[in-house]
Amino acid sequence: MKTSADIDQLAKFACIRFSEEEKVIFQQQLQDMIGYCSKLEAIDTEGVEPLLHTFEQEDNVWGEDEPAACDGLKMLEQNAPEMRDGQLVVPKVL
Amino acid sequence: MEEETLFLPLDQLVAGLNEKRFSSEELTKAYIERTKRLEPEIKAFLSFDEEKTLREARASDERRSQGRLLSEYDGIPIGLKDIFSEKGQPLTCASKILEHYVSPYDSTVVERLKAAGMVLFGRMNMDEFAMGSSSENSAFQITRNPWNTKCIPGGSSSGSAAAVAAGELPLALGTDTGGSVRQPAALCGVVGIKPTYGRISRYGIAAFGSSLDQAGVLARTVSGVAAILKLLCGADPKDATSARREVPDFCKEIQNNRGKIWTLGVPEEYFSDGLDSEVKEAVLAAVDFYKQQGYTIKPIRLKTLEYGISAYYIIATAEASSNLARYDGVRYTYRSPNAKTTEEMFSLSRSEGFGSEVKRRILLGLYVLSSGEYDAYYYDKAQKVRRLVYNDFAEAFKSVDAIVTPTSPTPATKIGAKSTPLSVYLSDIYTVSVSLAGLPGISIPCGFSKSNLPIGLQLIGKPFDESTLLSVAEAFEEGHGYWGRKPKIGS
Repeated sequence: MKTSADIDQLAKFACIRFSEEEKVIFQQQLQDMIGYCSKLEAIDTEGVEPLLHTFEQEDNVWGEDEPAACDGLKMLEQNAPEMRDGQLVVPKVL
Repeated sequence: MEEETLFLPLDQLVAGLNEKRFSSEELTKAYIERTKRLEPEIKAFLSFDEEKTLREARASDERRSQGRLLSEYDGIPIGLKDIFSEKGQPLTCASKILEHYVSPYDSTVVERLKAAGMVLFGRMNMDEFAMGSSSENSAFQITRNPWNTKCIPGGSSSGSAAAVAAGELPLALGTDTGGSVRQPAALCGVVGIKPTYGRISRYGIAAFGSSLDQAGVLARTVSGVAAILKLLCGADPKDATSARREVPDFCKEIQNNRGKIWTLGVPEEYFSDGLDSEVKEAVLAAVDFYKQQGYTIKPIRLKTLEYGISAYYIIATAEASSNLARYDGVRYTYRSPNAKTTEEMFSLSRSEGFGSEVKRRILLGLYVLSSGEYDAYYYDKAQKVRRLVYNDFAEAFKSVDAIVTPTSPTPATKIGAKSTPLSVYLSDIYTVSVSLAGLPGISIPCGFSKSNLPIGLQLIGKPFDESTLLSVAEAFEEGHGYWGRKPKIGS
């Protein structure tokens, strides 16, 4: 991992804001981790299949589609920061 | 009720209920009283609904009087890490962003505990979103190690381990993504098991690293974790990655395996630089114990150990950055009061709601997914290394039944002692490879340091062979009295 992390770009991807002081600290910590992780580059993985999941089922998991009761609106209302007439309220988009 | 009772292993608590020496309500009340007395010091709980807990205990007593118990463990209290959905109860993941969240449904593990009639006893503190190994990343409080309240209890299932160690609870559930059940169990001197990936449904457990997350059990003894494991394991249509395998009766298997002689592998890489000398001594003494019992001890190599941390942090953070994208200020309780635009709703809610460690891991995850020679190059590379780690273990298991290692390189350290995030990550060295390979692992107490802090022994098993793992662990427990030692706190 030769390139250094572009903290501004990553913050944008993450949808998280950082103060200038925080940026300096996070940049350094990130760089330490990236430096440490770069030891993987030395490993020869030519021809190695990535292991995406350790639990490789013998076959696919199939199931019938069965309708079940789910009061989605009630579930949302319990935890959404703001709702009105069954709708989620968000700041104006346009 | 005598406080000694609160430290009894699960089978003796069950016997106490069956012999009517105490009721579930009496037992639960006694745990509540002790918890109230110790909590100002231990800080293991994030929330506790006393009325609900006692209601569940009384319902169990009623079932008992009518002869319709739901299971052997009906009426036994168990704590839940604050990451499991329990309908109508808070679920904060120790994060400000979920501070006021209430679970609208039960996770599958909670469903199974309820079906067994167990008393769900409080919500346990943790590192925020299970990211950490000390509880220092909790947005609300730092849990103390009952053996020395100046020390960390380990984590991320910090409250679960500390409460069991302190006798506030007989049992607790945790989750383990890279060691979060095994490491706090080791540091608090209790038993903690993470079964094979896929054994327990993840439905209703807040996600961190989906290809690694697995629920686990903490208890005072090996038979305690074995009993609860049996209740929780098994296929679940709500989690396609739950294993459709038969679940053995682990307690029976342990009994059947008594006196059996196994072959244990001891990997030299796990005993090299960086391992505390007292931990090394205690773990090697355990190896000697097995040898004296007639076990075959085989030196093995697990050369990928040194790459485990790198591969783990790349994979876990990449998956976390995606899983935590859902916390956007729209659906999950916290929205910044300062947000005036949609962009501010996303970014200010996340900036104010997440703690530093969570932000750091999201950034690292996004970095490894977006940098390198091609998209997700580092993630891909780490997954290839993960295959090598898996192969390393598979090769070793051709000639051994289980592998013996330390759980943590040191006993519990002082709160605040580790200064950089990297130094904290490195303390996961012995547990993350097991998670990468999806293997079952258990930590059991195997000694104490000179300063009276517990030391943990990790046993690693073949996929879906928890029975052997538990049997080997129990053989050690039988030969030693570590499980019966209690911290002085509260006495």
